[in-house]
Formats: sequence, C-alpha cells, structure tokens
Amino acid sequence: MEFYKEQNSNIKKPVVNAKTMTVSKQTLILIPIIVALLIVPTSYMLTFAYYAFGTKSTTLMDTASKVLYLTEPNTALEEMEFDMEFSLFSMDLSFDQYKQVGGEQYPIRRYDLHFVLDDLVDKEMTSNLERTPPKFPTQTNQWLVHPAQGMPEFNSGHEWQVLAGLPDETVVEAYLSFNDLYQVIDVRSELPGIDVVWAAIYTGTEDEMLSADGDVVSPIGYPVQPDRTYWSPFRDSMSHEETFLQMLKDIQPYEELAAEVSSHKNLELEERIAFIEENGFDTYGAVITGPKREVEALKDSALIRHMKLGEVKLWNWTK
Amino acid sequence: MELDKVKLKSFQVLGWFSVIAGIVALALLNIAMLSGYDLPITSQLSFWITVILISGLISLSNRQSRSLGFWGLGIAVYLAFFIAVIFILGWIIVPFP
Repeated sequence: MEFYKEQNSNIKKPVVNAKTMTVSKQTLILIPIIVALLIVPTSYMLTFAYYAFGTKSTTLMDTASKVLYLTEPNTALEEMEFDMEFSLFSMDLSFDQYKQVGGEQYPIRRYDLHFVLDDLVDKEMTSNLERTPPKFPTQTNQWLVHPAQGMPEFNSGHEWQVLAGLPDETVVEAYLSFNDLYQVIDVRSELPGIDVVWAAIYTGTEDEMLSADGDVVSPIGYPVQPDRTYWSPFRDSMSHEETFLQMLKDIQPYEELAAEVSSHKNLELEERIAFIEENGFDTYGAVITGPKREVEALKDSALIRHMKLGEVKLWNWTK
Repeated sequence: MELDKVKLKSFQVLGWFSVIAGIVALALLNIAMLSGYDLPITSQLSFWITVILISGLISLSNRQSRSLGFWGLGIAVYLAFFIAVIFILGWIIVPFP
C-alpha cells in the first residue's frame, strides 16, 4: 500500500511542475505586454480625473471666457461653440470671439489654447480684424485714454477725418475717451442714436496706465448692452456693474492664467478690485457702434476728448 | 480519450483567444488615443468586451486554461472600468450637451 502511494506521488510531481512552468511562462509573456498597454488608457483616465476633480476644465474655460469679456472691448463669446479636446495630461480649448459692429455680431478672432494640466503652454490667436489694437500695450499706445493722461499715440483729428470720408451706408465701431469721469448711465443718455457697447471703468491705475508696482496696465470694463444669450455671464444680470466686479473676483485666484489668455500684460486685480469697492464705477471711455452719420455727429460733444475708429462694416443697422 | 483532448484543446484555444482579443483591443485603444483620431474601436469597445468576457468565462471552466481565462477576464473588467470612468468623467468635464 505504502509502495503504491509513493509511486503515485512520484508520478504526479512532474505533471504539477509542467503545469506550473506553463502558467509562469504565460505570466512572464503576458505581464509586460499588458502592463505596457495599460499605461496610456490609465493615464487618460487620470487626465479626466484631474480635469473633473483637480483644476476643473470648466474653471479654465470660465476664466478664459470671463477675462476676455472684461479686457477685450466690445467682444463676446459663444460658449456653446467652444471646442474642448483632451489628450494625455492636456486639454485643447478653441473658440471664436465676436464683435458687434452696427447691429450685427462678426467673428473677429479664433483662439486655440493648449493646456498641460492647468498650465497654458500655447496660445494661438487668428485675427480677422482690419484695425488691430496694439499687440504690446504701453502707457501711451492704448485706444481708451484717461482724462488725466497726455496725448495718446493716435491722432484723434485724423480719426475724425477718416470717419468723415466713409460712405453714409456704413456702420462703425469707435473708441471714445471722455474728458472727465462719468457714470455709465449718463454716458448712455448723452450718446443717443448709437449703441454704447462697452465701458472702461476707472480703477485708480489709468491716470498713468501704471499699477502701484509700476507695471503697465490696460483698460478693463464690461459690456453695457443687455445680453440675453444663453452662455453670457451677463445674462439675467440685474446690474452689469456688480456682475463685472463679481467676475473680477472670480478670476482673481487664476490671475496669472487670465493675464496669459488676455492681450493684457498685467491685470493687477487685487489693487483694482479694492479701488472699485471703495470708489464705485466711473467710466473714462467707452466703445460705441452705430451708423457712421450718428457717430460723426458726436464730434462736437462736450463729453468726448479723443476718438479712435475701430471696425467698419456695410450698413446693417435696423434700429 | 480523443474527445477529452479536443475539449482540452478547445478550452485552451478559447483562453488564448480571450487574452489575444484583449491585447488587440488594448493595442487599438492605445493607437486611437495616441493618434487623437476617433477610430472605430472606441465605439465598438462594448462588443470587444463581450467577446473577451464570454471566451474568458468559458475557458475558466477547465483547469488547464483557467489562468488564460483570468487574464482575459482581467482585461475585460479593465476595459469596462475604462468605459465607465471615461463616460462619467467625460460628462463632468465637458459642460456642453
């Protein structure tokens, strides 16, 4: 009996060993192949998790959107047409920017932003504008000028002359700089027959276009006309001024990103928010649009110190 | 005796089929993600999972092909988890309908 048991155990041993060998061979072959193939999908899931629970993709999108409303005069975005694409640890955000000239919105720029996690590593901007604002803002080359500032780099007389030479069947966009600080509501009532589309708000830095630290700043402001578009941050806003202030506070934690997206080199939000909270909302300049004749009629307005002509389009005014 | 051999062989073939189908599905998924193009694999992933799962489960019933079945099942579970994560997180990170 003992002999048989011993013999059986001797027979089984090689079978178990052969099976173990086969399994370990399979494991040796399969593990590196499968682990290598899991790296990319797992990284993809981690990327999605980062944009869902880390720095949210919607936060990056909202910051880009809000800063453009506040720093690029007379522009709007259509967030429903934003293109969002995700690749390994990165996100591409593409969208069009629109400008109101006369009674219609025209696409003026295409933005392609490439984020690696929350870092904006590449920004491409394609512009359709015929009259482009200065790419590198300085103290004197900006289109909206505070009353305390000296002469700007553009020649206002020349701009009025160009406007006068345009056909009557055109609509224009104009950047008006005032000779004093005004309330936006007063500016609207003083400029009849046209749309005041964007107002630049005095934030204590525009006298010299320098922040307290000596950095060059650019105008910030908000769209004045009621905006009923579904995606606009000003939709359902009871006070555009308060929405403007709230938006400044919203983008403050992401100021570095906001400054990179915008054409402004510095935003200096802390200083400017504190000034607005203390002094309220006064405007020193506005962007208007309307029929060429109506804009030309403002030449003798006591309100206006400088005018810089923006975009010009064929007649589309129906008001 | 011959039938047993055929049965054993077919379980092993199914096991290997499950594993190889899983590896092919993973490889195609890698290509789709690295190339950035919307390849058919992304929409056919549930079909691939079903095939891998069924062949993996069948091969589990034989001791000789069990380890292959576990590998296939593991890949299928991973792919299903991948689909669920991408679907749920994709819904969170893309705010448009």
